[in-house]
Amino acid sequence: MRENEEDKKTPTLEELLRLKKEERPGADFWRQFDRDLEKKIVQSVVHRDSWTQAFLQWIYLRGRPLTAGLCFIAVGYFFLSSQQNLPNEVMLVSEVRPAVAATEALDKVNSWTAAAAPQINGTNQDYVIEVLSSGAGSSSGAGRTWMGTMSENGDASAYYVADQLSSSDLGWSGERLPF
Amino acid sequence: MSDISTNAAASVSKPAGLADSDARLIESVRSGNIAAFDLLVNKYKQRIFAIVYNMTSNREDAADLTQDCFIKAFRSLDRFKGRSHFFTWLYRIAVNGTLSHLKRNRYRRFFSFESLNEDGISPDLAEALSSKMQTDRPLMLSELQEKLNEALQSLSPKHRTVVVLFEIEGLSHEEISEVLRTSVGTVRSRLHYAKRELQAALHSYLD
Repeated sequence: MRENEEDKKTPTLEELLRLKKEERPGADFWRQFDRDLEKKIVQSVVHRDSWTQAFLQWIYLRGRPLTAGLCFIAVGYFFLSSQQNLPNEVMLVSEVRPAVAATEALDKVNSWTAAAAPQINGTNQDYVIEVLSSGAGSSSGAGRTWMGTMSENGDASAYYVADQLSSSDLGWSGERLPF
Repeated sequence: MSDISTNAAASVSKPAGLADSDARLIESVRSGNIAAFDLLVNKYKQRIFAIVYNMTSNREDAADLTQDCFIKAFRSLDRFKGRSHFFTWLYRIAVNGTLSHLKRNRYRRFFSFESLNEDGISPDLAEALSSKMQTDRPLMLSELQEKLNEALQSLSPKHRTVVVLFEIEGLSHEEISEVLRTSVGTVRSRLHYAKRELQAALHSYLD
């Protein structure tokens, strides 16, 4: 009997946890709660997400695999296109100069037949380039002026006039001048 | 928010049994009667608040998260297909929101407790605790409340969630598994380990 009384006096874990049910807010709390909630619901009805927010939310919730795929494709595309366009980047046009510049350039250059004419997007170009820097080193182009003409006969053996340039030199930047 | 259904909220004993009335209210909200959502809020706000509060041990965070839960539910009501009970869906929103909150703020923990309603404590339990702690009742209850919250917060959020839903909110294993979208076995296992940890943390009150 005494042992039973002792047992009765030991609370169980479940009884202790049930005490948590008695931690309850009062009426004032709920009145404030209802006011705040009503305000927030009205705001949520009135305020519609902008399309950018909706799009970002959609990406966050549903579009992560698709976005990852698109990012992968975009990175791949930029990588490949940068590889393909590398020769074009040599021919950056940052400033257009008067035709006099071309004449000056012509004075300096010697006739020279190259294996391939300089091209932009696969088309032989008619221009003069002042090479400002060269990935291949200053000895092979930087600071020199060269000129290209349209292919006269439309084939790969077209000639142009240049100052010690080789068609294999890539990675240059320069200025195109009107011819 | 009106108090139209305060009585209805008080009369709720087991939410599963109210699925039909929930469905009618949801249909009413969908057809444009936004006031019907007040009834759903009044019906479930205390339960949702209790879950969130017991998971966070912070009354302000719990109030915000409970409101957020209802706003999410309101805005997503069109997506509720009725494949589960409304209360399961609502509990899931609340639990997921709270777990995200706990994850975001795992290095920032502040406790703020609700006052303990002493009338709800059985005289037998109060007597047993008083004799065990050998102190006066108000001090004993305040200390016990602190220890209980500390013990709960020492559990991992997943374990705490299961304890709160099962031991405090009285959901069944099956209902919890539906809320958490996990198996009943996982729920039982989490509950077992969580209670073992709680036993250790609260042994001075239990032995």
